[in-house]
Amino acid sequence: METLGAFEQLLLFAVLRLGDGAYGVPIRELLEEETGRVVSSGAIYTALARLEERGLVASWAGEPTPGRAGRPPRYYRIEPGGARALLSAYSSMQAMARGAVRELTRLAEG
Amino acid sequence: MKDAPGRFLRALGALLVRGPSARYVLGDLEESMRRDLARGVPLGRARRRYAANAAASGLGLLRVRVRSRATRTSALGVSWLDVKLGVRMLVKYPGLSVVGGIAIAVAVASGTFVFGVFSNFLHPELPVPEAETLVGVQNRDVETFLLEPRSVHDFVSWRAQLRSIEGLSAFATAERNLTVGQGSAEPVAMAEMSASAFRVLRVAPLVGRTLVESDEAPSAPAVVLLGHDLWRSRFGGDPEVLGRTVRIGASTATVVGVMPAGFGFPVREQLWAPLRVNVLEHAPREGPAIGMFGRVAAGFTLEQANAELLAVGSTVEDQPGVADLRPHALWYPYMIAPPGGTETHVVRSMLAVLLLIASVNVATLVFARAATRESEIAVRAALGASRRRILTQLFVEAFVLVAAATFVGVLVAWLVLEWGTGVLVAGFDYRTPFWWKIELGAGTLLYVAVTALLATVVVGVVPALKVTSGLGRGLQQAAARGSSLRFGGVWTAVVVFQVALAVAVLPMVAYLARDAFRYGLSEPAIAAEEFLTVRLERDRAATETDAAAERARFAGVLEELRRRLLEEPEASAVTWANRLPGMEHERVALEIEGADARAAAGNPPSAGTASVAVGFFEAMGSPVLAGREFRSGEADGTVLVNESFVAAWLEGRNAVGRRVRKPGTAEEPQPWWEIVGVVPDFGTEPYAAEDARLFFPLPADRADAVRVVVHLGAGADGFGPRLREVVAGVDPTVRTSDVMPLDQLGEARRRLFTGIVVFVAGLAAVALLLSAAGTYALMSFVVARRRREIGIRSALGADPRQLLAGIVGRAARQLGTGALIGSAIGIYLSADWLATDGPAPLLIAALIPLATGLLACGVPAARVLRVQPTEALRDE
Repeated sequence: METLGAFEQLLLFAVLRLGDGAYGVPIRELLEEETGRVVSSGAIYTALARLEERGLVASWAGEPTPGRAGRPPRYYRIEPGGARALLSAYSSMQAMARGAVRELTRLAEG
Repeated sequence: MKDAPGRFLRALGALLVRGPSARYVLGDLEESMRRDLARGVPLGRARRRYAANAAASGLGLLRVRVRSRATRTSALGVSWLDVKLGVRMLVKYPGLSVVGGIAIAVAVASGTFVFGVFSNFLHPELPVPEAETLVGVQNRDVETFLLEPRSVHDFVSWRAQLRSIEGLSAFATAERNLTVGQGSAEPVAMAEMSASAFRVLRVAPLVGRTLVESDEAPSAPAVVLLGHDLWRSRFGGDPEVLGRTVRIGASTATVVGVMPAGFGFPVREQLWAPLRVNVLEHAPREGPAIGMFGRVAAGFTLEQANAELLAVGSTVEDQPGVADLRPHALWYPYMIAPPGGTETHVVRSMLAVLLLIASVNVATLVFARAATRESEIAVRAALGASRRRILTQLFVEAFVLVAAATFVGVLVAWLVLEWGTGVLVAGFDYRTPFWWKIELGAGTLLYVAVTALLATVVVGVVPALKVTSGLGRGLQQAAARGSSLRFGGVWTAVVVFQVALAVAVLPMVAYLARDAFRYGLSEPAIAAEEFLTVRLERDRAATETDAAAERARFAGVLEELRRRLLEEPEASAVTWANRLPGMEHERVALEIEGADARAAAGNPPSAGTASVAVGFFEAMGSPVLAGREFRSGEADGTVLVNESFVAAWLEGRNAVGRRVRKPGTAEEPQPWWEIVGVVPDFGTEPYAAEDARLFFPLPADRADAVRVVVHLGAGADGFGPRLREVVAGVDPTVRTSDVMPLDQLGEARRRLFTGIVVFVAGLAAVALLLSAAGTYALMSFVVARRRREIGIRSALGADPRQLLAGIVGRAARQLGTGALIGSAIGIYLSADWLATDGPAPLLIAALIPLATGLLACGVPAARVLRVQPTEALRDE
């Protein structure tokens, strides 16, 4: 089973949630929106290239849309291997967090 | 458009973001900026974000590209990963890396060094325009085949007649004493040249002019041309040097020009004067020794020039009582430094063989290692790696090893070239031609590259082919059950050969090393440091006419010098000889009257010879032991011998009154010499035991050069300047050189000898190292392969010692055979030493490989005894 880094997990969730519209700009916006952090596009492209190399995501060129100076977007889709890896990572996280969230919150707020 | 990134930012983005994904990323950047602006982000901030994201994305994409290139395989199927793995293997198997690396490095270093030096002989690069047409012309005696340089008659005749060789010119070289202003006379290599020589060479002077035809006239004023180095060192590069007067020997000459840097024609000269020869003064085959050269005329070849030379012939031909001469033209650099024909190629081939031997040995080790990696290879094959892929990886591993070793080897060769050439040149007393380059040229580096590639093929490909030949069947077995490989006949033969080689060379090295060591420890019988020596040579022009009168004058100078030196308070004795203790003595074969038993036994008497002045041994503080020294006026017919001579050739019997001579023929017997005295050994031999010596009387009026010795007691060093002064006071034209205490006289030879011993010992150490590593690999291999069997047999109660004998016995017998063959060769090679020096070094030399071999065998053998049945069987 492929293991995923924390950023890779977030990225895969973004691709998953954006569905057919998952390309650079919306991915970054969604990540920034949900995490509240500024995300470097360099980090996104590097991570996506690595995930694609490992066969966890697939990509294809779309049609050029207005506002992009004639340049097409590159769309991403999560592959079954990627889905399994993400599910496994999320399940582990959930399993580990079980019964600890309340305490965690208390410590963080305290 | 206000909301667009603008031309500048777009250009920046295009500059930063590169590669196949660039257009998608640039599109994203553009879109992001528009969205930022639409959300009300100020233009400046949006621009900054665009630029920052472009930079970050560009960097990210670059990283992705670099990483994918690192794992991508090239056209040859080699990836960076293979190289990385190769480096890792070097670190993981340090023993193999160090032993193999040293072996290859030493072989590469030797090859590079010799190739670098030999290139000067084989492919000289003469810094003269159109050097390829420059030819030298020589005359040879048709009977003795010896060169006859006294060819002034032929020179004049050929210059007028030859059509295929243009501008035939002559030169005569001599070391002369040059005095500038009020300074002291210093030796300088000078050539007297035909004026046409400079026109033929087509090298323009740096300052002034070269020599012209009118300078050759006997009545013309004496002129000289200076070499660049001489101009810098003796005239401080003075631009006003033209017209200055210098003294050469006893005559004066005016400077008319300076030649450019790097010019030293004909060999390595720094001073040129016109050659003035009157042919009528000399009989054929007499007169000055000259060299001749010219250019092959346009439209002619060297072969045609030779044909014409033979047709024209020598003027000496058909003259009654004078042997015929045969002329010959050859490429000029080959005349000065003959390329040496086959032996040069033999030496070069031998070095390639040396590398090959080293490579084969390393290949054996690599094979043994590859065998231990069988299961790894099997797993890789099972995972889909093709045989080609695995071969590539093993090749790259070998390449990394060979490349690292080659780098070290070339570095060592470079250091040795820098340091060692001086030692070589001084030790052999060889004057290198001015065009020699002591450097690692392109040709040498090409040789290194080709041989390194060859070594890689041997080290990497051969074992790899062997290991992967059974891919599929054998390897699956191996992965399941242990090794299926055999340490085949060839590999075993290599190890056995290596052991034999190491054992064979060691005795010789041991004797050599002992000689070097013993010399370092030996105490000379005379207090050599109390004597100051100086070489005195009378100044003579290459074209001198009355040598006998000049020699008689020189004899007078020596006598006067002795008288004046003895007036100095420090000097207690003065004498001279042509060779002094510590110098190389010319060896002659001898016949001893009434004692030819030894000659029959294949060991004919011989001795190093020197000629000494009357009273030489008294002055040296080692008076005769028996008989007497030479008497004044005594010339031919009497000799002195040293103690070693008596011990070696007369078995200690009384020597005085016996007669010796050079072996002659029945028709032409050589004259007898009577031994009139026996002198002590000096004990200053740089090589080995004191050598047998024969001394002749040195009549002063026959010498052109002598070594004068002054006995001074302590502080001989400090007398040097005074000694020069006294010599200059007697005759300023006499050249003084090599002023040094007697104990330093053999220094250059000693350093060369030590260098050779170190080199040979180094090679022997590498041979020993390789043989030990080979033995160890063979034994480890045998033990590893039969580990399971050992386990079962010891579980069944086998006696461990019997088990050991059974397992390693065969290999041990093979290695023992190698050692025996090696010893036989070694004893044969060192037979001379064995006869004279006794067997001690031989025994020590035998012990070293024995101990090494036992250790190399013992460690794997001990593993046999430690095999635990349960462990061996559990491995399955």
